[in-house]
Amino acid sequence: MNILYLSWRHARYHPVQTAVLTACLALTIFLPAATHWLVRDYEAQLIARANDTPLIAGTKGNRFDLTLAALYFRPSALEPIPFSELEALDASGVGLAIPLNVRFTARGRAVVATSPDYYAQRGLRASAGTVPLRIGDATLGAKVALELGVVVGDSLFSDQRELYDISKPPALKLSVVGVLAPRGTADDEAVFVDTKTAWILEGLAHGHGDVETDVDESLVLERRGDNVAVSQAMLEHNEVTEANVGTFHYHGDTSKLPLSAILVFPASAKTGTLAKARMNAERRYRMLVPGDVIADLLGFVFRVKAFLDSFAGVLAATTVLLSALVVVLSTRLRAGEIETLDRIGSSRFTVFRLLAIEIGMILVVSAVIAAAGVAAARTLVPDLMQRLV
Amino acid sequence: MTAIIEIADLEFAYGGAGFSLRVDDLAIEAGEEVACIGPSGTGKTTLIHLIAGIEVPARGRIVLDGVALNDISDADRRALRISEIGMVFQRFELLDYLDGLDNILLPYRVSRRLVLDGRVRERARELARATGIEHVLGRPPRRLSQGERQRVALCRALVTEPKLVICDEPTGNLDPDTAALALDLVFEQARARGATLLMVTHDHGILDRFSRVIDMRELNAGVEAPGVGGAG
Repeated sequence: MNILYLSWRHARYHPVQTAVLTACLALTIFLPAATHWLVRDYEAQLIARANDTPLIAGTKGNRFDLTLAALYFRPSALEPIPFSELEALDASGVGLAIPLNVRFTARGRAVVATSPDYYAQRGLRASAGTVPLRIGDATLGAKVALELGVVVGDSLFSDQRELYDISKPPALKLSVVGVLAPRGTADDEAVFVDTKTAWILEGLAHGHGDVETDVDESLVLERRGDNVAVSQAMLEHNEVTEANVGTFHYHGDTSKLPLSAILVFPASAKTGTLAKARMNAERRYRMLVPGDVIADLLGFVFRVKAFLDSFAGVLAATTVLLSALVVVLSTRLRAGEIETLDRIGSSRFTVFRLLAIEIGMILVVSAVIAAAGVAAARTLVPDLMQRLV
Repeated sequence: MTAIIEIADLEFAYGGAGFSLRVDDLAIEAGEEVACIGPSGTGKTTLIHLIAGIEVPARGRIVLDGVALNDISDADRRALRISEIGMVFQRFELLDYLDGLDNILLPYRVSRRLVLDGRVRERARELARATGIEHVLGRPPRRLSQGERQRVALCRALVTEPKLVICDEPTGNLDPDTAALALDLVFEQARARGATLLMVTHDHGILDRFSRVIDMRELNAGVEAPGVGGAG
């Protein structure tokens, strides 16, 4: 205890030296430890979500883009897959097929248009309100609600993709009808809407006044039988309400309505394998196992980790050498003190302990700081990781 | 009276330095106040290092309070030194990162043989009171005057209640007035505790205060050329 006290007093008397040494050692411990745990967490999180999604159907192209768009709602430039593929999967009896459209954003957050099956499949439940039940409804991921300060009953505008092109649909005012309970996944950071709402955002569905009764005759360009051509100057509804919900409709072939991906939860491994083989054989679209894609992606992550590990190794070696230099210089500076202790009768072991305990104390404090840093990183960095994927 | 230090047929030499010390016979009685004088290089510091067990003679015998230093291990010599000998150095050798009180208590913090308890702390404060430094006990050495540092060093030497107090030119770094006061304190405190006093000094003006004076030129039968070698 006495030696610990002396070591503590010495460390306190030289605060700069102690702080620099502690910081260097803490950083040396923190870097590899944080990398290890973050990669482990990242790997576990990626694998867990991928394993929860047996199959993804989508357009041919970059398989990472398709997987990351379907699992993490990452924006991608992939061509959409038509709604008819979903209908075909449903008709094939493969199991559960869930549509996903992740081509839009609202205040910078991904708008995920999907069916109610998605929430059941992902184990999502509303902590307030409900999941979206009607077009124009939005249910927010827990983090989105928290960050935007939006609650049930508020509204949220979708982000307009083309600000200066009036032929594109305007921003849609979404009614917030629920907030999901936090799950610690990408679902926390999304705005969920019904699949049909995405088609309004696409401009493939819209609502407006009755052209026979409610529209200004000056906007009618032509009447031919049942068809009425109306000027683009006619304003469409930019909000779905009880009063106008009945006016929303599609033009064209609904089987061609676009989806970003289809999540497939096969009834059995066999039906899944058959459905995958059939779709991939047709070569128009593809079906992939996200677990395999994520395993390949993790290969890249591990290569990055190996690089960081080697970097941490160099840092550790540098710090150890610098620390050794500091200790040697410190011991030299303390030569007078060591001689005094020797002359008054202190044992050699006591002198050794005096030096060793101070280093030990600095090591322990460094380790505690590094552990706190790793814990903080594991809490804070997953957000960053989710943004990275 | 009994001898606290007995030296017989002692021979010591630093390796390669050319200096040697030979003491045929020396005895210092308990309670004596002995001054050790002589020009630089005659072995004054070497002698007190040998008596304290810091150095070990090549031949001969040193007995400290009945214990033959040659016959015990280095660890035992250190234990004997920290508990039975109080040492005051010319440069005081206080630890800069400890305050006055902790410097006084230092022997108790670096030895397992000595137990630091309330009684010892009280004794340290009593010594500080007696030497007039109680008000600076919380200060580090850099905030003490030379005289105050010297008194802290004296308190450190006395706090273990040693049988022998060895002072190596304790007033060498002090002005004459402070040196006189310091000497008064050393004598007073050593006497109050019944300790034997052995002091190396160059100041011949204070020799009449000692009961005995050892002149190294006469004691060291091996000395060949005063001023030669590294020993003081």
